[in-house]
Amino acid sequence: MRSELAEFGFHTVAPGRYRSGDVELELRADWLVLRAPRRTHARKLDLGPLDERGPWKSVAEGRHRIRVAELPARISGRISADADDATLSASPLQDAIRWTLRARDGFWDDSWNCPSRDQVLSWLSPENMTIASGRHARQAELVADGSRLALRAAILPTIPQELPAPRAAWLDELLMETQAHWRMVRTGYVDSRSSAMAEVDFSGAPLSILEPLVRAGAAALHAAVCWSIRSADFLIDLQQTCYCLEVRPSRAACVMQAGK
Amino acid sequence: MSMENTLSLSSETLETAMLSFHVVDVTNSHAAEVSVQPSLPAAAVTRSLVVQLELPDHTPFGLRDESTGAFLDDTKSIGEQITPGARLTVTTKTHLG
Repeated sequence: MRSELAEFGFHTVAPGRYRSGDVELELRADWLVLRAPRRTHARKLDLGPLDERGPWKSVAEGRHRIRVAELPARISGRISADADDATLSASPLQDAIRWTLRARDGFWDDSWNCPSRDQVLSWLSPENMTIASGRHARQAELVADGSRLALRAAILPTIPQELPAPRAAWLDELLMETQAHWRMVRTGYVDSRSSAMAEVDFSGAPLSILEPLVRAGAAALHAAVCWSIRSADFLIDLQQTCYCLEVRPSRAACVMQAGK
Repeated sequence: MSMENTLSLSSETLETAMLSFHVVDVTNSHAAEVSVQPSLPAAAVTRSLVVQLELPDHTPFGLRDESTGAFLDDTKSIGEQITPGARLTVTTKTHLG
């Protein structure tokens, strides 16, 4: 059992896996992953909302939806699943876990000092902020307003209001898939579904882990937007005709099951 | 320490306004009406247009504003260099001597 985890009440349940209450923590070679059950009733659509401070997001696990927080292992050096790796600095790891657990419980530290925009941007290159994939290009933006620190980018800056319901449902599926597939990244809609966004939130993160966290988050955002942007653009292109897109995903799944 | 961990997020804080302009390649073979985020660097817009207009990707291209004849600065955002409805040409940057 890693001693730095005991402070939070974690006990070993399997090699590299720990549990404290209803929170499970997994130490992987490259990632620290925390899972917890949802505390609210499941909704059909569970994207975002893009207004929550901290790293948690909802993903599907089997037939259930759970809350997940993912942190890069580099925040505390390379995390080993082997017990009691004495070469690690315990402090950043504990800082990261403390921040994540408090965010899950809804706590907000009023004394948190949001770093300046210039400081955060100094950790990133201009290439980190420009996302290009084929004929698509997006500019990520840094939100640093004192109580919120996040990187966000538009997957779709504008969504046609006349988008048919089945295509809107497919877009929901794509955004949820993106959220589940890419670590750290949340997706969702803003302004009454007029835009689809991806974001990584660092609000409240302790300074001891912030720089590697922001660097990893920028890379994750870049990858997630690149991954989803072409499909998303295809889905809202009403000039494209495709029978599959005229059928809701749930209905399409039934048809596929029936065809087996 | 407070228990309020959510903020009301306004789309006013997000860049959702788009900049629209007309673009044509230097041979006048391909043209398009384009909308992009104004904060995008001109270089990124050029790269996306090269793909969209199916121009050769091994050639260095730049964007020229037809109203001034000047190339846009690749490193600056396109929004600070043109106005909505501008007419741009995707032009090779090759020097001939």
